[in-house]
Amino acid sequence: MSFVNYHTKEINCKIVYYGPGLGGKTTNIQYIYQKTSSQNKGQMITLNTENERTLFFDFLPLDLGEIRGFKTRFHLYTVPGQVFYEASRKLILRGVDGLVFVADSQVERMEANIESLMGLEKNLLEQGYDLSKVPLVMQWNKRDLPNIVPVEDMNQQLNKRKNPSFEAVASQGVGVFETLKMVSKSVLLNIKGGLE
Amino acid sequence: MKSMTVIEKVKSFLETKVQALEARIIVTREDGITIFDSTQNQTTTSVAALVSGVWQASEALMSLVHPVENVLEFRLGFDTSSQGIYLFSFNLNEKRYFLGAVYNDCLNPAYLKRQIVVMKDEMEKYFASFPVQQKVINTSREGYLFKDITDAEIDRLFALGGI
Repeated sequence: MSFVNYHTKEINCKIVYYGPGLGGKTTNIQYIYQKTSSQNKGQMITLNTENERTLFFDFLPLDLGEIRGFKTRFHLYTVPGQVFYEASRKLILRGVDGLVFVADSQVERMEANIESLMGLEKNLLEQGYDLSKVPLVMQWNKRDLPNIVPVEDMNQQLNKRKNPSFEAVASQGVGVFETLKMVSKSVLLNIKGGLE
Repeated sequence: MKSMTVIEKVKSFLETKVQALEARIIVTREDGITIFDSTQNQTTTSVAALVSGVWQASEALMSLVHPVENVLEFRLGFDTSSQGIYLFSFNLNEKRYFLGAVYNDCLNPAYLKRQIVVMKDEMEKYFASFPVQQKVINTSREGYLFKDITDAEIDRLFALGGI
């Protein structure tokens, strides 16, 4: 749940990168970290296994500028993609304001994408969230690889709600900021201002 | 009594108390957002996210093995004889927060932990001294905070962030 401090005019939002294992969630966050000036980023936290797979989460705090007088801070998290880390994924989704679903475009990973998306919907429901009401941006990653599913098919199979989607090659930074900007905009537009 | 936000309450209580402690004291919301840090610096947001994450992971682990009856009675420790982490959770206005102490080169960690337990008890009493506030709907803020945001505004926001 986003946190708006009206006294200090600050907005804090939590964005979670979700998706199947080895899809490129951590690569997205690492690229953002590399390209952000040092005064605007906090310490990036990565909790990895020995072979650099995400064990618990990656975390990157991003201090951006002001929008209509409000200072904005985005907390970017990734979940561990491997199937057996379901409990960790549920924890990280607590208090989420916006989601990026990083799908692996390779043909052989389509089943993993579908399974992960179904898991996301289920995990959100268990915590009282309706996926259709949480800002969600789809990212079709690894578009530089040879054996990829056409974008139309990705949309047909994974994006029935027609959420905004972007093609990406996260390892080269292609589509990374476009995705982040879109989810940030959706999250800011979704902040309720009625209660303090 | 003037209405205070949670951040103001925590800050007003802890600011003087933490000076006497040989530890970095952090208070965070359940979603990892910082409420208080006695050592404000570039690591603040990350430290708060980890305090929240490590507690919730421990709680999930405990619940998997044995049902947890009252999580507020738990405390979480990770320490050697001179350095470590000590965490509690507490409720305020029906929301859960975490209080964490991170210490290093501490001559008497047991004494420090005792001081933190006492401080947490006193803080709960301090919070209880405030009248329970009903959530007030401020009609001027009804609906959404932003009615619309243009792509140019988002580009400017990121440009200010050095991106």
